[in-house]
Amino acid sequence: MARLRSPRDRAPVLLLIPAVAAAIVALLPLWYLIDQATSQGFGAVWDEIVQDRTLWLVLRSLGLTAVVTTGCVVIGVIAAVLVVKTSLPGRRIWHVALTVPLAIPSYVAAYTWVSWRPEIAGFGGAALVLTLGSFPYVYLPVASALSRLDPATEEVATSLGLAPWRVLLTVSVRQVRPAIGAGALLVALYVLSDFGAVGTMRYEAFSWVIYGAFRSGFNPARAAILACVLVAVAAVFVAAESRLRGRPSFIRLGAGAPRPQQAVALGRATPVALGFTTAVLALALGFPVVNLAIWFNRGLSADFDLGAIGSALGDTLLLSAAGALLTMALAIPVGALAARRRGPLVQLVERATYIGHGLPAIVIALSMVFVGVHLLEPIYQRTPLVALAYAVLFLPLGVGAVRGAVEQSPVVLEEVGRSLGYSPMAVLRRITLRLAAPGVAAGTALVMLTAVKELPATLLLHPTGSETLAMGLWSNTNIGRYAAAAPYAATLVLLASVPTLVLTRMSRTLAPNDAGGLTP
Amino acid sequence: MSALAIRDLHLAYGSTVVLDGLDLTVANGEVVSVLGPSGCGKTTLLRVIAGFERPSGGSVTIGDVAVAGPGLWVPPERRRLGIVPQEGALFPHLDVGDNVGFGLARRQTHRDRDARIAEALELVGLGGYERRRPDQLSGGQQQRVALARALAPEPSIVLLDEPFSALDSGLRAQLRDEVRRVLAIAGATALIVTHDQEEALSMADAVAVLDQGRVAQIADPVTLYRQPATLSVAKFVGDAVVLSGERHGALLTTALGELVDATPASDAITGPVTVVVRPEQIIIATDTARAGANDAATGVRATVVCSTFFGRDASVQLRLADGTLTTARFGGRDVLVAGEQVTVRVEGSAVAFTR
Amino acid sequence: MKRSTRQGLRKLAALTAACTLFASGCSDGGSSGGGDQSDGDATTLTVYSGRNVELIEPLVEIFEKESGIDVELRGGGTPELAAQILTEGDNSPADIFFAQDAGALGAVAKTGQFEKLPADIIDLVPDTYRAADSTWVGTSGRSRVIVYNPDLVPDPPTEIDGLLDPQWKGQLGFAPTNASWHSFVTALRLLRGEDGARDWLERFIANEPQAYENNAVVRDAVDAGDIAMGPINHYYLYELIDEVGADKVTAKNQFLSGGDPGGLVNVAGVGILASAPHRDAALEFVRFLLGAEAQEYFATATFEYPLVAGVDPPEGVPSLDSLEPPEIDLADLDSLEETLDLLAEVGLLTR
Repeated sequence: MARLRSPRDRAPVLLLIPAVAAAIVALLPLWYLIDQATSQGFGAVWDEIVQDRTLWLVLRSLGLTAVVTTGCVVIGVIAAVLVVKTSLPGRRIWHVALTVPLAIPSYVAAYTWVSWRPEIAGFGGAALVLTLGSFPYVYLPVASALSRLDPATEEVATSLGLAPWRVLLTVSVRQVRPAIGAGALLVALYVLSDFGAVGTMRYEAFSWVIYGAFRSGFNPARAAILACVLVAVAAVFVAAESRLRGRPSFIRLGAGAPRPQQAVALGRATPVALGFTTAVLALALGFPVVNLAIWFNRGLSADFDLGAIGSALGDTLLLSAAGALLTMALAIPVGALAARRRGPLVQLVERATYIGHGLPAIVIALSMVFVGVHLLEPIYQRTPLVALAYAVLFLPLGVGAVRGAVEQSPVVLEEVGRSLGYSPMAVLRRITLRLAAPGVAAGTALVMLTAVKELPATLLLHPTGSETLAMGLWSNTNIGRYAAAAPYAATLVLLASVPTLVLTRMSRTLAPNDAGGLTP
Repeated sequence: MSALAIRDLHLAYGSTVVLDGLDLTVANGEVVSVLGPSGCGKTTLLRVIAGFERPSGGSVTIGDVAVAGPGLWVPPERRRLGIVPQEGALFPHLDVGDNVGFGLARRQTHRDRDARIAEALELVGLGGYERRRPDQLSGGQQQRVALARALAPEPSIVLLDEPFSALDSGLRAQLRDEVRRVLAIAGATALIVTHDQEEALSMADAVAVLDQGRVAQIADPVTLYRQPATLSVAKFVGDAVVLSGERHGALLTTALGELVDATPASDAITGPVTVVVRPEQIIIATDTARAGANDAATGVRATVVCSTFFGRDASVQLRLADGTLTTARFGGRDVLVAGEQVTVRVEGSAVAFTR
Repeated sequence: MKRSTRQGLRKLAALTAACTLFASGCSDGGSSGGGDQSDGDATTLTVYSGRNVELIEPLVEIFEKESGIDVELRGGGTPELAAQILTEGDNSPADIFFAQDAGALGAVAKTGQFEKLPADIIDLVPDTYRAADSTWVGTSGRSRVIVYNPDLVPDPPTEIDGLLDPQWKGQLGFAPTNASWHSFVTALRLLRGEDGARDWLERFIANEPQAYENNAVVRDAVDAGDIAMGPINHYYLYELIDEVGADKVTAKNQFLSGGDPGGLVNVAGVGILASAPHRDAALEFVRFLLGAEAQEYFATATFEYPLVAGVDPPEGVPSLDSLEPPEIDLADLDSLEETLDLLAEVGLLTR
């Protein structure tokens, strides 16, 4: 029975304050951007925006975003359907393998492709690399949602005479539209902000130009204005996704129980399905990894320092863990509120946290430099500020995961908890978050693995004397020392694989009695 | 001092009025069921009492403590109520013992808590189940644990929200009896919200029928059934045979003959009324039975339209002399066939509502 | 496990995490990356280095041993670091900005964030390779060259316009995102004006040059014979020779003289921030970089031109005096934005 929510049900203040704090953190870059953009007066802002070139750049970025998002949705949904809903052999392995591409930084993948065939550079190469690297953002939530579907609707559809394939397409996939939308939003924002792949592929996208503007002319005003345009575009995406969905659900990455799903028998289509998954993984995972191995054997400037790599590993762990912890600490109040309430303040707070995700990391980095020296001097170029920068960058990943997980936890349990004498905060702690824990853990893993790969912000803000794996990788590839770079790349991918595996485990996509074949 | 006193409760969502000046009083130790069709506001009422919704007007007093009123609202965690939701809603991450003990004050010693938990589980017939997990229990067992959990902290009132609707019917009846027994032993004051008339009538000391956001009638089950205050209450609290008729003093003239008014008023107005009779009051005598019994013919003639067999009796649709269709129950051994002519008469009094 | 034990462990984990964060914030940060631990001396120099850390680390270690001053290198891209310094303003923790090109130095100097260097330092370097107002000084030079494959180009061009000859259609290579290419185009603009530069670029495009991701790849392509020529920096060739041996390398460098824009000599250099916390140590470091030891390092390890008199250039490389670079103020190379706009206009930004 639908529960009407009384409009006067107020959000607990103890949640609202940290949530608003999270939103403020996420909006810190705007302080820097607006300060810089208007430093030469509003006239300059207007002039910059109305240039033909600006519009052309926006269109180019939008074009790339559209293609990559479509590609990721197609690959992600098909893969999720194959793994969760069909008789594909070895589904458990495929599930893990299809998540691992997240562990490969986009600049590494882009480099392997472009050094193999330089002609790839440009739109095609950028689209290829970004699609192959981002489809897990769609795959994970869709697979998770599909595995939690109530088989009832599908059984009804089958009984009405629809062929299994049609049931899959018209019923099952339809029901997970919110998950598809959530994943697509993340992909879209990521493409807007990515510089690694776009730069290596030399595709003149907006992010690349912003990057160049910050680097060149040393005219931060111009760059800041362009970045503000990007923020506006990102805001439109976020609003659009919210409107398309109507009610709830961002990423559902855990919590709630997966149910044994009706597996569609593939029969003769099995080789085709296997071919699809193999092809995707060969391109997304196999190709870069093989190239990394080849770099090892280039043998020319090969003498790598195990000690340096070890200490880089330690530094990477420290920074990414700190970043993940801070991000989740901020994400939990926002996600918990957003899952239960739809008031305008909560909506605003939630949308604010998504803005940073659409900005190129160099912009976030310089904003944090700005904030650091003007406001937070004691922690400038210290771990806490790096953690803060990571929080600004990765908050949406955490918020989405927390929100999805809390939504899975039934409201009635919280009401029972209240009736038994627990305050709203106590209920959150002892009931809601306990139940949402796997989803929160999945979110933490996702943030951590993304932080491990991060480069531009880390370069500017890292504690002096420390070096992350990504930094070591970059400084070696910069001067063509590929063999020396390879161990950094390998360690980085291996390190990122650990949270990736945690992520797949926490999503608990396959039901416990799913033996990997047809469910009896 | 009553356990629960609600005065003039109002609640609206936008332009939809859900509670429209509702009054209700529950005495200590009383079990009251709140009955009404879907959408009548009964679950909303429960949520207002529990503190999950804020009323836009009126007051709620639990015991001698006002919990809702103008400028006053006590949050749910301070109202000392127990809730048994529709689907049980046990905490999946805790075992049965921890579920039941969830509301027990943490100040208590472990031994006291464990003793109270054991006591509550014994009460619902699940003694020794402390270490089981919710997913190992059947639906009925889960509901019983939910009841134990609500009762363990000795709340002033227990609120049950359609507690048996998720169970299958055989289980439902059994559980109903159990819950009634448990509530009686615990001496608990309880409010049971349900749309099932059988449930409402069999479990409670008093039944409050909700209609369009107000209490249409509150009475003990017998009175409610036999003397419904309005036509809609009559129709809702059981099957009703509705006839039009004329009131002449204490008698009601209908197509089923002259009926006695159940609640004759001294200043009863002569005039047209709507008359309600329960199907089981309509006695059908087949011609063969009458012939055998040598009874004088009392009642009116009617034609059987159709008969639906229910096991212990049959529901029979009859066409009366003036063409009216009515439904009656027939427990006789004979099987009635369509078209058969029978004699029907009404046993007991009927209820009339002025039109 | 008992519930209370589990709860206790969770609390412990949370507490540990919080302490780690707090402790890391308080500490100086991570393990050493740029140099050995300080041996008792309290001075630590902070250098923002746009020069690759791997390349200059050995040099820095020599300095640390000799001076006892600890040096912390913060590596990054030269433009990003310049942007960072500009954003930090007077609160910058940096002592020294070691930049890969003069344009960046000029940009920082313009905002007044560098302090003037003393005469004894400034005079070590010819005035072409230092700031006119003594705010920065070059430490090593790199010349633009045309790398060519002698089998395909028996008679290499002597001026940059030679690349525009239609006979080389489809046989040229370049690195469009490379900073020194941008500097070259800036020099072109300074020497020939906007229209002259645009004209050159349009004729260059007409020759359908191949785009590569960096200069090293251009060099390799020329060496392999995939393309005939390409404009890069001089030291790439010598790096290759050093790695595989001269007998295995086909490509050659063509230096352009006579003030040709293609013969631009750019410098890597340093400036000391006016807000530097360790001014004396910084001066010592700059002196070291201009000393014989460091200059020889630049010649032998990175194959760049030493700028200080008395130090030999890399083997096989024409001497600095013999080059006739175009006459421009290197600091003017900071008008990078207009260069990028021009490149975007003609469509050479990426292709």
